[in-house]
Amino acid sequence: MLSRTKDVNRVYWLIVLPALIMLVAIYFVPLGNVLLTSVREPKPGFANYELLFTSASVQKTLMTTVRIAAITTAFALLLGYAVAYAMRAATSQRQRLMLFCVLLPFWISVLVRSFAWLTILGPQGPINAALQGLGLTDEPIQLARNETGVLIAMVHVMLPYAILTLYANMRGIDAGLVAAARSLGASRFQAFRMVFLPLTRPGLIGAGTLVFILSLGFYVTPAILGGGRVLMVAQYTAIQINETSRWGLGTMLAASLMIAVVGALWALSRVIDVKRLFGA
Amino acid sequence: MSKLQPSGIVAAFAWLVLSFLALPAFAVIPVSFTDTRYLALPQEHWSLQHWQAFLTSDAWVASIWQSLWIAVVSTVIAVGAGTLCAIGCWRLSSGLSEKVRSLMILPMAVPTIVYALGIYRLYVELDLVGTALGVILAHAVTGLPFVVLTVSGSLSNLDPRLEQAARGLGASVRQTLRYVIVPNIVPGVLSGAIFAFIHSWDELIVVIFIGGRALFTLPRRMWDGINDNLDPVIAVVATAMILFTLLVLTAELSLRARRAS
Amino acid sequence: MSDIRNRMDDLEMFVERTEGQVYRRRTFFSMCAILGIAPIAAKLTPALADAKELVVVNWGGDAIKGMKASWVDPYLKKYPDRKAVIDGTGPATGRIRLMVESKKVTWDVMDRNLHTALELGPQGMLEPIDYTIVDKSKVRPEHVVEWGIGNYIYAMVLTYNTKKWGGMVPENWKDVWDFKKFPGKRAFRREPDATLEAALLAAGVPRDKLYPIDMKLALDMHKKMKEHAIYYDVIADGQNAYRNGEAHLGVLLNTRAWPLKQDTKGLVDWTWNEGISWGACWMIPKGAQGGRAISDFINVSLDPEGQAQLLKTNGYGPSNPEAAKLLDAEWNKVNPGAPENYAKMIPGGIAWYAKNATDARQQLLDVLSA
Repeated sequence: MLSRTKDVNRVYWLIVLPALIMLVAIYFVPLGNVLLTSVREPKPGFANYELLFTSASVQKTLMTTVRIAAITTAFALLLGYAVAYAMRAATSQRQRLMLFCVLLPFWISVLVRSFAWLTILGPQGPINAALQGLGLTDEPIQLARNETGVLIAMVHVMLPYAILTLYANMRGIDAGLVAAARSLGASRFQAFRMVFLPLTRPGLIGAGTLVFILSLGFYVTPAILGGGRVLMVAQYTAIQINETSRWGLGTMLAASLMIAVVGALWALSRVIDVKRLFGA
Repeated sequence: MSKLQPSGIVAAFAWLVLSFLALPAFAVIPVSFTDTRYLALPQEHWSLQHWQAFLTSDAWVASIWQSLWIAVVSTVIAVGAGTLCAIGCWRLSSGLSEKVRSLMILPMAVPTIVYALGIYRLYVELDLVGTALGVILAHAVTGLPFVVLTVSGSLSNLDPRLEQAARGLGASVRQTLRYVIVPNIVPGVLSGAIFAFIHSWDELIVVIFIGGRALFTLPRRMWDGINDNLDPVIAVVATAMILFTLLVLTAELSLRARRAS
Repeated sequence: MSDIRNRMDDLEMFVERTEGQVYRRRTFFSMCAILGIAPIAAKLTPALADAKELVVVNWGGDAIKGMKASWVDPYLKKYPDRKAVIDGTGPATGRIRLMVESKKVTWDVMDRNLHTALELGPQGMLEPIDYTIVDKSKVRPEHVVEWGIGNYIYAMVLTYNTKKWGGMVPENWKDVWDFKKFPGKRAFRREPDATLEAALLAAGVPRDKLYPIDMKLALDMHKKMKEHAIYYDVIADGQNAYRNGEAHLGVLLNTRAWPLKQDTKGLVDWTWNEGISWGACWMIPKGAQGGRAISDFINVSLDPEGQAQLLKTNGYGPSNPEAAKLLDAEWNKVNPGAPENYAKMIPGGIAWYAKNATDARQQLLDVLSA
């Protein structure tokens, strides 16, 4: 019996292998090669990493990145949860329509979307026109070319990811459980909170992880909607690499980001059951 | 089928969010009919000039095909390898397999430009710069995390005892995968596939570095000459893609309806 | 034919490298085989670049068509047995460094600017221009450096809305910083060049005392400016901001200000006064294979005819002052290289930027994002 389990495990390791080989050979090896630059340039040592503690601009960029990613994640989860929930409950025809709306933005390149947002949120855009038309404001309010604009556009980009991840998770939940709770006298809200919500925790954690990590690496959206005011790590790194030949700082930031994510995943796995994080 | 009854407020809120999602599309569609040579709403009248430019331009059409097949192949690789990996890790569920799975997500967190430097160096040695294979492999490996994450999410709803039971009844690993596990994780695999596809479809930075002169995917075509002008054709492309998805979904809907009746 | 020759080259290279790099290649392909993609791998191996083809690298878009008609075609006409092609993928510093370090240099001549040439040259990333062949007398002396020679002139110019202030228009950078006289939104590039100079000129620094740049003063001026301005990253975005009335005055690239004036039927205009002029230049990556052809091409590109034509198609100012004589008065109005316009502007401090661009950009970003 034991040897059979071992055999089976071997088979399962075998199916893990293709992805692992790909990842190591065409991701980590070439990446590691570049990240070494961070301890080699401008001179060997950890001088670049000291900047994490001494340079106000490095710290500020990191803080901005984490803050924006966190806010984006919170909004994407909140809004996405409502949509996924409504989708899960809808009739299949309506589900299609909702799915179409969710997939719609995917087809508009992030570049095009960023410019669309500049128009929509701009001083002469429809939003400001509506606000002034309704008499809510006299002057156009600054919705783009600042952090607000970046957040709106980023939540827009991330929402479909959150919705689809949550929805995939909710699809697997037996709706009968909620109905049973209702029949036992629970109110609609109670049934949701005590039965449905706990079952979607893996979905929430999965979607949150996905959205947060993806948000850390945003480049195009903050570059265009930030009006030069919002500087996130990816853009900071890209400036270092595109404009100068000094790569030490940019690669250090990338390495730090990677280490921070590993650390965060590790910490997360201490707080909540790691199996919950990925399922199993 | 539905036993969930969200209150009216929740449903209304969901539709509000959905219209927020659709909002840029409503800006993009009229822009595709602009009479100006820059990205703007039609000024004096609606015009088909950019649709014509798009449909008669070999360059744009070629870019769409190139992006499409690169995205399809890299998605197939990412979904295949990623799904198997997620299932393997789920079943093994050991400390080591958990580490493997965490590793899988990392590519999402690293600024793409840094990876682009590395992959360029590797591809120079392998003579893969400017090849479709090179781009496909790079897109597949960076698409893996999406698949692993979504499939793992789907597996979380699956009772591991199901797998043990199937094995106990004498099913081989292959049979277990095929009849027990995969049918249960279809939503996760599908969303992973969509993410991986879009990831490749919209990816710019890696292509700039390793695409050479030959590979001009759609995002690259859109960025071309970005400092000169924003070509309204990019709005046409987006509109065409929206119409295409609408068509596919409607076709599927009516097909279902016919089958049901 | 060339296909067969490429195959042979391939084979030769393969044999030559059996001891070294090829090992990795082989491991790689066996890995591909494991993943079941070996057949595709074999089919998709690239053809080697034709050694005789001159590769001119620029930033794509309209520049491909323009440079082809004005420079590449005349070059091919003069040397009918040669080949040349334009690669519009952009010679960003990171890509230059990667290519030079990889020792497999496929680019021959790159369209960049003089301060980058002065920055990258000393770092060993560029070949010096061969002035025994290239005729440097065709351009102004400030557009000749060891690793680069000016191929056209561009300028960051004061751009403004002509209707916003009842017929009054800003004439210099002091006006741009005068928020009472000229209320409205400003637009600058989120890059130090011209952004800093404009601030110093507004603060009253004389035009011949701009360099070395007083960073503290320039940044203080932008601290005052910040809430009144947008700082754009993509130039087309800045152009758009003037066009749709989001921005009313500030900095814009002359090649974009010109079509903007046409698109808006004169609503947006610009002045050469106190513009900052820059020399775009040819540079050659270290290890480029083009040899003599590179210098021949550069010489052709400096001929006044092609230079004048490129102004008409792309708005690029001829670096060869002779070209102005081929242009009539109307065209010379939009020509940053025309003597009367050039004299109104201030040549950008390439030596200062070669040394300080990275730090200056950083400090500017810090101020803007604070």
